[in-house]
Amino acid sequence: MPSFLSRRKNLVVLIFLVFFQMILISIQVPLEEEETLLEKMVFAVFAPIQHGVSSVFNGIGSIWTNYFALRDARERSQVLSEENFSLLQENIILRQSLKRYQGEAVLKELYGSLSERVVGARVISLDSVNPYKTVVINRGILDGLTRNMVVLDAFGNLVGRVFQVDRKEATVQLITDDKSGVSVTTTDDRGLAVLKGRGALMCELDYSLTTDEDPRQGDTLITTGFDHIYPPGIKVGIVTSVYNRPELFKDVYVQPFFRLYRLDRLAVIEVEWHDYD
Amino acid sequence: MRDAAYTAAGMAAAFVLSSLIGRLSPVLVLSFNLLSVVVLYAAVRKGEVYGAVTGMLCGLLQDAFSMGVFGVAGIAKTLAGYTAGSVAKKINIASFSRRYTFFAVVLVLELAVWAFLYTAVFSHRIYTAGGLIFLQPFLTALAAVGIFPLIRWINRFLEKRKKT
Repeated sequence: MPSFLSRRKNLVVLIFLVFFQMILISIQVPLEEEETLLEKMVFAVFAPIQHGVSSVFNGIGSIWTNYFALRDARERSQVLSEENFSLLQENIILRQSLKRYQGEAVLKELYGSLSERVVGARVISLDSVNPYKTVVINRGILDGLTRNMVVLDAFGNLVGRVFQVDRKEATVQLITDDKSGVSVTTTDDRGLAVLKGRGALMCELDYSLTTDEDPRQGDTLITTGFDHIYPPGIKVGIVTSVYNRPELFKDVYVQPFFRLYRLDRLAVIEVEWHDYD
Repeated sequence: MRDAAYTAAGMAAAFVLSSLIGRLSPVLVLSFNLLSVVVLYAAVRKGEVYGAVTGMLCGLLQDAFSMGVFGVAGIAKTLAGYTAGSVAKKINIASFSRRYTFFAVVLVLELAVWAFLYTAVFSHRIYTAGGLIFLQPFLTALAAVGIFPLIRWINRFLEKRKKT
């Protein structure tokens, strides 16, 4: 080894480590949303730890409450709560779908298949850098989750989509993420726009023309289904402020309905697009 | 080997604790970077190369659980680990105030490198949560200063138990 390198061994190691990571970054940039194998491996190794710890804490919590509460009553309530949660989700989807479906036969078919489409999930952790980007949930491939399945909160409000799926865990991209885009309209179908996340509490609407009157402050936004990820009619958020600018598009800010602080139980929904086409 | 096992345990503990505090409040995720605490501890105890390697592993772990490019936090933490290990050998950081100031400076640099890389790769600004992220180095430095006496206390406790 040249004497310069042996004298500066530590610096050489540092340069090697930084260079390795720069190569890693440069490989990923053209891949965009795709994760590298190394990233998938790290996630696969550490996600079960999170899952385990979350389960232990949930378990401790449930032992504690079951010990002090009436055990049978608690279990019955748990079953009812699960059933209620499922029914609530079904009800929301049905109400949204009713607007689209006409024939009774189609509705019957929808009733028959609906319960198989909803998977209940719990949040394990938030994004390690920005909590408004992603959350990790305790359901994965083994529970039938696939990429782009739609995620709603306990009240049927849009939360995001399944982004990365592992065996027992999955990452959900929130609609507040700055790379997220959702095709939305107002509840009475006035105007179309794309809801973009800002990596923060609020979202904004892209492509809302300054010449258009809509949307207005206080308008409720729902999905249109044009993005072919989120089915039509899901409640997204409320328009909080509108600023007209000299440019072509105006600034419209939207407060999503889901609350990050209260995200615990989620419903993951498989959308069958032929139902909507 | 034993050091590597301790560092891995420290990383796992910081990671789990980060997940748990995130469940308590999303604001806490931005207030503390517990993986940086592990990097600083490893760097000060074992030197710059060990700090850089720990930094890389902790950074990649942080990247794996955040949507974006894998390696951005990795580079920031690698540089932080190296700097902390290398400078800690040359200056006296025994007292609380000196150690706190030193850690805060290293963490500010780490945040600056991370923000620069993030902006360069994604072409948009970092989420600051109303400026809260700028407090992160100072709050994390406090946690990093506190970890030294805590580990000393744990070691002493374990030694006492061994003797009895």
